[in-house]
Amino acid sequence: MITPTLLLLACAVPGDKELQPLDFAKVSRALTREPAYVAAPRYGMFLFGVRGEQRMWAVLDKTQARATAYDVLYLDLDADGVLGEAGERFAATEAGEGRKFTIGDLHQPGSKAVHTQFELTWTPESVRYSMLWKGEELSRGGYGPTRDTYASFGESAEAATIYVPGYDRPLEFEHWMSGTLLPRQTNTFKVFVGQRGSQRGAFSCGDEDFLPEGEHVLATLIYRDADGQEQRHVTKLQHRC
Amino acid sequence: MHGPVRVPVDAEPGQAIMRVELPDTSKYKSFATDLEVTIE
Repeated sequence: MITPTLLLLACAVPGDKELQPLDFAKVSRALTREPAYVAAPRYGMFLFGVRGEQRMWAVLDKTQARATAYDVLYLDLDADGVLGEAGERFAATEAGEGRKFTIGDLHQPGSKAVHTQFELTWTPESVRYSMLWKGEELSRGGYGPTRDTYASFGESAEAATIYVPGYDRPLEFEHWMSGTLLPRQTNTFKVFVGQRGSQRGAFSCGDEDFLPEGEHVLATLIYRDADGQEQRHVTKLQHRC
Repeated sequence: MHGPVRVPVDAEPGQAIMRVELPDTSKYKSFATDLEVTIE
């Protein structure tokens, strides 16, 4: 399991004021065709593009219906919604209790971008992935505020867990074990920086060296005082983990 | 990223929001993200 020591990554997108945070409820879960699964499949999806317009399904299956581990991955490489075409079925290697799928180069649908070293790991507790975005910057997920929140794939297409790898979009943030603040003392507040997924535990992030030296993150605490009035207190998060 | 956050002395215990974003001066863009926090 990868330890998320980091917490910073970034986005290579020029400012686009029309962009909004993704509304995952509006993401189509349509699948045109699926293979004949051996076991109960588990559904995930990767979104690519500035507006998340390219949908790449990832569905886990087993080679034997009674096996405990998911050791087959169908990946909709051309994002056409037809799953199981030639070259879209991957076998796993053992990784402890889990199974690792090594995809390698990933040609981003609708783009000339090629992401490298793409791997996906299933464990009984969660599904994780990593890739080198355009062969350069690490992108990995899915993360949540605590380890026990890391997401698994869903039990149906409608419940698919959606991940947004890379740096196509403006950055978002997620807690890392920082949900409680103690009064009258200094708290270390940590955040992942990256892309929100469809649910808690599906956050994608990179490594901490993406932002140039000297850049920081603004954290504004919005709270109530004894009179019930809203107050704000701004802090700079400047440290890499 | 991380940094020290000191809860102001006038903050009441309870639910609060930590709004996280990159400054306008950053090389990168971000969506301001509201993270729920609890002040004990």
